[in-house]
Amino acid sequence: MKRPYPRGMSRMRFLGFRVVGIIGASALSLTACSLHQGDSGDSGASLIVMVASSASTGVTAAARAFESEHPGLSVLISAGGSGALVRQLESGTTADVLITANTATMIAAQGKQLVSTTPVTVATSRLVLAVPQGNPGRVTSLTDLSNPDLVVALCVVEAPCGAAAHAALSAQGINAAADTYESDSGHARGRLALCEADAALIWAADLGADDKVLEVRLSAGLLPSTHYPAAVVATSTNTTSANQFVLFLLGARGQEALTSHGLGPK
Amino acid sequence: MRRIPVALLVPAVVALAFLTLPVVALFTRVAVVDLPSRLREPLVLDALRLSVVTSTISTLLCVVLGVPLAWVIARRGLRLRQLLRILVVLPLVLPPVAGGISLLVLLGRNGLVGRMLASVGVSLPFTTAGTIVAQTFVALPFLVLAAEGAFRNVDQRLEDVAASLGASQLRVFRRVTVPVAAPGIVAGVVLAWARALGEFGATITFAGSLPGRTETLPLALYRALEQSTEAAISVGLVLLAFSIAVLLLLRERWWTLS
Repeated sequence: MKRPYPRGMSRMRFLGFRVVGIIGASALSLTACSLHQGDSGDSGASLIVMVASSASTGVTAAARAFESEHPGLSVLISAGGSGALVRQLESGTTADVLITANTATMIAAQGKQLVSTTPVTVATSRLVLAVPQGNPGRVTSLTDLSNPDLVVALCVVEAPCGAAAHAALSAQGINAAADTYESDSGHARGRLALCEADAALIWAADLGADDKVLEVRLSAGLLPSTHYPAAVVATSTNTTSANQFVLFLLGARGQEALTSHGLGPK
Repeated sequence: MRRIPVALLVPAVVALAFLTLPVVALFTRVAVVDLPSRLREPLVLDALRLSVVTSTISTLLCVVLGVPLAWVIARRGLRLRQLLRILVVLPLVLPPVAGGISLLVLLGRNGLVGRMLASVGVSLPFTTAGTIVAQTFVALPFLVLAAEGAFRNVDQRLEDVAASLGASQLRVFRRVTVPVAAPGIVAGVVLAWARALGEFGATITFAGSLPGRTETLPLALYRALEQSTEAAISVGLVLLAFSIAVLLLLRERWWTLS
């Protein structure tokens, strides 16, 4: 009699593989925001800071400095697209501080009573025309974005970088020939870093320290700036530390950490 | 019908509830009557059309490439068969985003093969063809595994008889092996198509997202989530309704076979 299933390949295992694939696919949607745990092995209190991806390196550096001033406290950084962070708060995620990549998203969070303090701007950034190292598409101006022969990456208009880019381009009558709309500035930068795109509009904070992605200098005023407002989350159970952290970001050490990671001063 | 033992019935009911309740929950958040108006939105309609076209082509590619591979694996010796099976399963255990990145590294503008393609003017990233490549990459293993299992169950004496009557190996494959294995292959086709239709990670990573060109329904759903959960759920329901319609249509023809 023949075996109903080939040797070493029972029905269980076959279905097992299928399960792995599906878990892989769904894990993807859940890992849109990553959690970096502090080094402190102390079992003391922790502070969860939700921050727009483009500011996450700077805010992570500031958090490490904050931890050194507050032994026993560990700061967890949850980075993601601004809209996604607000959505997570709406669905009940616990966090203590929210930092978005524009004021519009923070105002939306305020409207939904997701934050309990008046937002304060802790950093700024500029939208920049960015190209891969070597500028293979010979991009020199914003009008090059309408060249259909170039691969152009923009942010979705729902994201702060996309909204800012859309406003700037339509104000200048430029009809961009986008080849892909990325979920946030960091993903658009990724297209340049892999050299798959010739040009992108991203936040200066996302240019990065390695020279893989470079800014094309334009005359001042062509592209807008953005503010990063911070506020204490309404459901925070650690409002004292949360307020202290926001104040720390505004202070000299916080500002130093933020500005040495590509962000502009408050 | 004999009574089902409780030890089997309880987990079976839990499994069924686990699979169906999340889908039922979707309907509690969005009115079903809104679905037709959702369908008329250009964003949803374009994405649905693109999803139907790309997932169908991907499934055809899976059949054309996967059925022969499944047959080759099924008819090899144990050692080689196990090795080939591991190679086929690799894309399944790879997170889809990692799959998308590996496709970029191979077929991207600066990729190992992509560079050669670019020199003859072919570029896959950010094109509909790229979407099809990504979907085929993740869907193919489902078809190969299912078809291979089906081929292994074909009584080889049938093939021997056909061969002894003078049929060539290719003719035996077409006229005996494939028809006998058909129910298993069809199950694989349905799995592959479903996987291609729902594909997200590899597609957005390799092909990007542009309405009308590469923004399939799952990608449109992800973008709709930026606006509101309700909008995203509506797009999800469109995907669900379409899948159910197709499965019901197929049931008449093939689904009952397997």
